[in-house]
Amino acid sequence: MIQIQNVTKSYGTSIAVDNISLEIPAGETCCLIGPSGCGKSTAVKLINRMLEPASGRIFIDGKDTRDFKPELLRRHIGYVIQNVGLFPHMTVAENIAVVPQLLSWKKEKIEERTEELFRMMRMESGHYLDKYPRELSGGEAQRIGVARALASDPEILLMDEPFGAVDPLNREALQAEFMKIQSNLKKTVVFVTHDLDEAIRLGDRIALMREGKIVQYDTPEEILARPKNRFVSDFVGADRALKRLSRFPVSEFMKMPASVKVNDDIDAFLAQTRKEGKTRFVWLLDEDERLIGPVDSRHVRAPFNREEDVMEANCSAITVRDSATLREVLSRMLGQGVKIIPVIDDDSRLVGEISILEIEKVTEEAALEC
Amino acid sequence: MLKSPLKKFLRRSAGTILLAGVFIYLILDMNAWNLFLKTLFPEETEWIYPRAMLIELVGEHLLLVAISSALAVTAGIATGIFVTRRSGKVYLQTVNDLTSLAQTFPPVAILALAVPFIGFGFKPTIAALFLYSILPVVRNTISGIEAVPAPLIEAAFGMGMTRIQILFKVEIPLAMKMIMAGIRISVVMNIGTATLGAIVGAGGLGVPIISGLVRQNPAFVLEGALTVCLLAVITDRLIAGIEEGSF
Amino acid sequence: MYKVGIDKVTLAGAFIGLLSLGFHFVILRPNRLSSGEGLLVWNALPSPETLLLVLLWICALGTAFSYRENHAFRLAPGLIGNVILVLVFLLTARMAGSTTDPGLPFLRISIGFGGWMMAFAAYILILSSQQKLTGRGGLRLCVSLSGMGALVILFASGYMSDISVIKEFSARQGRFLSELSQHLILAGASVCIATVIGTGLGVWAFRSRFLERPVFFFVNTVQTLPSLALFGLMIAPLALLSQKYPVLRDFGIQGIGWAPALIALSLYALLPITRNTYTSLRILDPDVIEAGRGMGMSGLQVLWRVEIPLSLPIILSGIRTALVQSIGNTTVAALIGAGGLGVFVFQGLGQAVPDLILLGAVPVILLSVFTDKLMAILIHQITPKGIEVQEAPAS
Repeated sequence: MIQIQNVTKSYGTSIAVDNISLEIPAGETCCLIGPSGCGKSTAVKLINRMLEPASGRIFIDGKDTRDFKPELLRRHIGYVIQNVGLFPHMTVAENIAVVPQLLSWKKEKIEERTEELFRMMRMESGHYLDKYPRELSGGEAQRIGVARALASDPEILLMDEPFGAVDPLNREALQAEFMKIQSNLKKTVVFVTHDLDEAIRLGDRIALMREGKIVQYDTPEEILARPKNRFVSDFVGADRALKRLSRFPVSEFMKMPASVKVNDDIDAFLAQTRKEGKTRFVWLLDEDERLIGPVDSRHVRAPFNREEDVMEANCSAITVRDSATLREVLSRMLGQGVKIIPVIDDDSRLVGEISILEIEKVTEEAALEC
Repeated sequence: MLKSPLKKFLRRSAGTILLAGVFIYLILDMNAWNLFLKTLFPEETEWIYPRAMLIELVGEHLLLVAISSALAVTAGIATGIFVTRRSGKVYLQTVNDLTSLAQTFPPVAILALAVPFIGFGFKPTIAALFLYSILPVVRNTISGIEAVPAPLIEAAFGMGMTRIQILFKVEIPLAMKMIMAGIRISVVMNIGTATLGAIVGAGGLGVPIISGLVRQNPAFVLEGALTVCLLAVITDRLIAGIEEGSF
Repeated sequence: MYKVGIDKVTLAGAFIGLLSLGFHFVILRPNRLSSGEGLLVWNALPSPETLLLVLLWICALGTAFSYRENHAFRLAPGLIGNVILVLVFLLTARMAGSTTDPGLPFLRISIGFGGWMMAFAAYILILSSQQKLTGRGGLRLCVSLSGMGALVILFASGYMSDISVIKEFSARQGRFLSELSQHLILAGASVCIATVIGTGLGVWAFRSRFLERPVFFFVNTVQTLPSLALFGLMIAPLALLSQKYPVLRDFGIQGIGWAPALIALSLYALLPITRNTYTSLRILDPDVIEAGRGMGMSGLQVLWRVEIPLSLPIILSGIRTALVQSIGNTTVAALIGAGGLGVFVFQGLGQAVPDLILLGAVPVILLSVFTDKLMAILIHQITPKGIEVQEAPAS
């Protein structure tokens, strides 16, 4: 856990960080965000003593950071910067091995750990180990950079706009990967970004900074639902209600769908559905429970005819994956003009359905101020 | 397939090594010289500089260059490193100004000026050679180290390297190519200036050249000139081979 | 807000300056040939003058230790440095003029190692001020040049004529001037020839992938050859040539003399010019040219208004290097009978007359430095604003 107490950092007459206090619980991702010059990068550098505070203390797990030699402190904190900083004269393997070597790890242990890191990143070690940084693409280099930061298995990870220099497609993939790894490793992460969507997606908590001060420190849902002041609400944007939806995974809100398999007695099922009157659309699945398409129980009469009665055509356009958020669901609904969206898993099997009613419930919770 | 740097170097410099082999042969077998020079200058009576064996002259020359270059490279790299450190940064501009000024001085002038102050012979020549050949090494060490991108240094700090570790593991390896280029220029220039050392009594391959000029014997001149040219070219290519191997 | 600290550069200069007091300030020679004896400052100069020098250095030391960020402290080292620089020469000249010994009618007095060291230390003080006076054009120029300017005036007015090297100069003024012009002509002509050939080679090498390697192989190899050796190598073929075609002798083209020197000097000057021409073409951003064409410029207009202004500074930079190099190499050409200031250097070395060496070497150094600075100013002037001219890296 990281505790920042009344820390100030100034350069001559300009104050970069103005008496900030922050507590980041262990295992959480805290995103520092704000306009340029707000002091977020400076704040991060104070944690690993790349910069020394003018006043105030920083505690890591209860111990004052000033009690350690800076080099030693940093060898136990992972640090990833925007320009990666992979040493061009070392191979990927040598790059990753730098901090373990500084910590005098044995060769076998380093090799083992390197393999482990590649497994974690789902990259093929054999392919990358002997490559030089100049042979890597931007996305690959970033991942290696993160792997390098994790090499000594530090408990704290400091990341300063790590995905900033990467194209949007790769950035999306890197963010997803980060979340996956973080859910396994549960490191204490301080993540600096200027991209609000990124902060909302990745952060357990967000600290919004301005001119060296922390304006609001809350969960993303809270900041989006109840921005503290004008600055915050302007910063998060007028569409914050929509942004907030991206914090809610569809898997938590979907309901069990009414579904019938191809080789079942479809007519009977449809009749039963009409009789119960609880739902209108029924989903047709194949033998492996993969979604084929929706069937309108109100208008379809026996005998059931697959070609005519199943609205198969736009099926993929109206489905979302179970890893999606409510934001994508809403986007689909608006784009396709439907009010119910089926949710499928990686194998295209139907796992749930979600309607606009669930979404409205979520957005109602947010107090919208003008 | 062994990827040792030595093997790579040997493969790169195959041509130069061959040339070096020819060179060594030529300084040992004086008959070839005799024949060659006789055919070119039939009207002369003597073709090979009589007062010293060619191999001795080459040895003197190499000694002059080796000592002064060894000193210059050590002092030059040390100075270059010093002025790029925190404590030495104040001196960086001054050192840059002084070295760029000093590089406009012709080496022959420095050599000639050393005489009234230090005297004739081997030692003053080494002093003058040292003073002049230090310049490219210092300049290239400075540019090489300054060319290391700042994000790399920041990353290295962030990873917990001490300043000394950063110097040896990051800055120097990345600056190596520039430094080697500086060393190459320095040594080759040294070979050239050492040729003039003959005029101040330091010996070396300039001796037959000067003797030939004085006695109007072009054979002597050629003997000295060809040998020292080969020496210069071979040295240049050998060091260039090392340079290419550095990152 | 004053920043107090130690000015390390001025400190280094002051340290060297004080150290120089322990070395011979002047050298007394009974005649031009003997090596003479050195005198320390307090033995050479009358007490008030010695005191003045020592005080000035202590002043410099003082400003180094208590440095503050204000104008006075920025100027101080430069002022002190300039004064000391002029004093070294002035006081030596005065001493030379006033020392007479009937038993030593051919007495020669010249600046000793300590004196030169002091001048060097004074230069460091001047550099120190230069570094701090950023942006103050007029003031900076003043600091840089006032000392040298004063020395030039002293020299021209004949005040320094008693210093031995100047005596040497006066004794052979005519010869000096003719060798000086020979030196300039050789160096200048060789660079002209090299410019014509070198720019051509550079353009060729750039246009044809095929020619690139051999061209650079050639010019690079020529550069590594020792100058004396290259001069020597030119002798044999030219000697043979002039034997076959005696008419060449009438033009002065023979084995030794200006002909082989000119050829060798031109060959040496090729590399910087060729390489810089090639580089200037290489770095021409093709987008810029495309933009020009897109705007409707003809090929010639693009050349005149875009390509040349952008590549000229780099080519001129190569010519600057070539000139400085040539001036140095021409000194060596004296050995093969081409004349030039090297004549004095080698005569001095041969006859063991130090002042003769100085008479040759010092003007050559001054010439090199002056040409370099002049070219730098020229390049700066013609560089379009907004472009950085890079110093060609040594490689």
